[in-house]
Amino acid sequence: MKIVDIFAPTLFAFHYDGEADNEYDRLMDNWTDVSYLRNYAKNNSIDNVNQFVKDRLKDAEQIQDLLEEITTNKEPLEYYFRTLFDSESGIKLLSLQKGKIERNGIRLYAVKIDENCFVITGGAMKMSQAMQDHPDSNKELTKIKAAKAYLQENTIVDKDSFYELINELK
Amino acid sequence: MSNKEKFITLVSPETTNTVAKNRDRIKNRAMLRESQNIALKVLDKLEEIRWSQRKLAKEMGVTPQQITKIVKGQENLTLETQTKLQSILKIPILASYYENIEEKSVSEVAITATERYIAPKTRVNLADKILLAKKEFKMEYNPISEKYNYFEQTA
Repeated sequence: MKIVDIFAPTLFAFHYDGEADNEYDRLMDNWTDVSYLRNYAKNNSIDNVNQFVKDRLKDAEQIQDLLEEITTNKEPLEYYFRTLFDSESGIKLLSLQKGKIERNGIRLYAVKIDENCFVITGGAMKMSQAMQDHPDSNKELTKIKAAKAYLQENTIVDKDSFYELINELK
Repeated sequence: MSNKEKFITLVSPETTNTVAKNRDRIKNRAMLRESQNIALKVLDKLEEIRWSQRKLAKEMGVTPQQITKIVKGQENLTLETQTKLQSILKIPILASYYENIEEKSVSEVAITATERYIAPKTRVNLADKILLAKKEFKMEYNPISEKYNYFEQTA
């Protein structure tokens, strides 16, 4: 795996082995792919498939707007991230929140390296309350842990555990 | 070396165009929304008529890869593609879909409004039916053959 810069020196992302893109681009591509979203909904027995697709497409637009804002205004990234403690996994998650953002069904996870310095480790569509409940978010937890381990191998300590870019659904 | 300094040395030297790509998505948002709507309509219709994407590709005379792109909903589809999808799948994509329907119904109304209604003439003369010869049937039992004989008598 490698770390690439999205908006140095504040925002970075992991680019995992075997993937064509860094995590932000890879996830955004999926979240704006109608066919992918539709299959995802069907595989997860969503009642109203088309509504799910439309909702996720709208969520993706919100995230795009958020990234654009991050890169254009002067606020530090801490303004955008908040902590969220996931009692199941015992991991403190930091989520992106700017004032009162609309409920969003997708999440972007990151690790804080230093003040105003974050690395995106992955993301997921919120399907259940606890990350372990759904195989995909469970997979994300594994990725986050691997990313953490990679940083630690290189004697880089991340501050305050993990961060979540997107605020959660009600 | 500080934590951050160590981290910066770890970062790959290659540049990403993530921010630029993101800006493009925002810039093309209206077009992408249309593309997404079309993708959803196509996928719904394919499911309804039980066509594979391969079958649609064949009908449209394009590669399966092109269909994969269409159903992703990230393409700026040409008018040609939109027209083909509309006519082959019979789904509303362009204004012409509705305009053609409107035109058809308008012309139908015009015809019925101007044509004078003439009651159809009956072909059969009822009087003939009533005065047709009455037929009578007589049954006679033949004890030898143990059968009934039918005789037709005309009145």
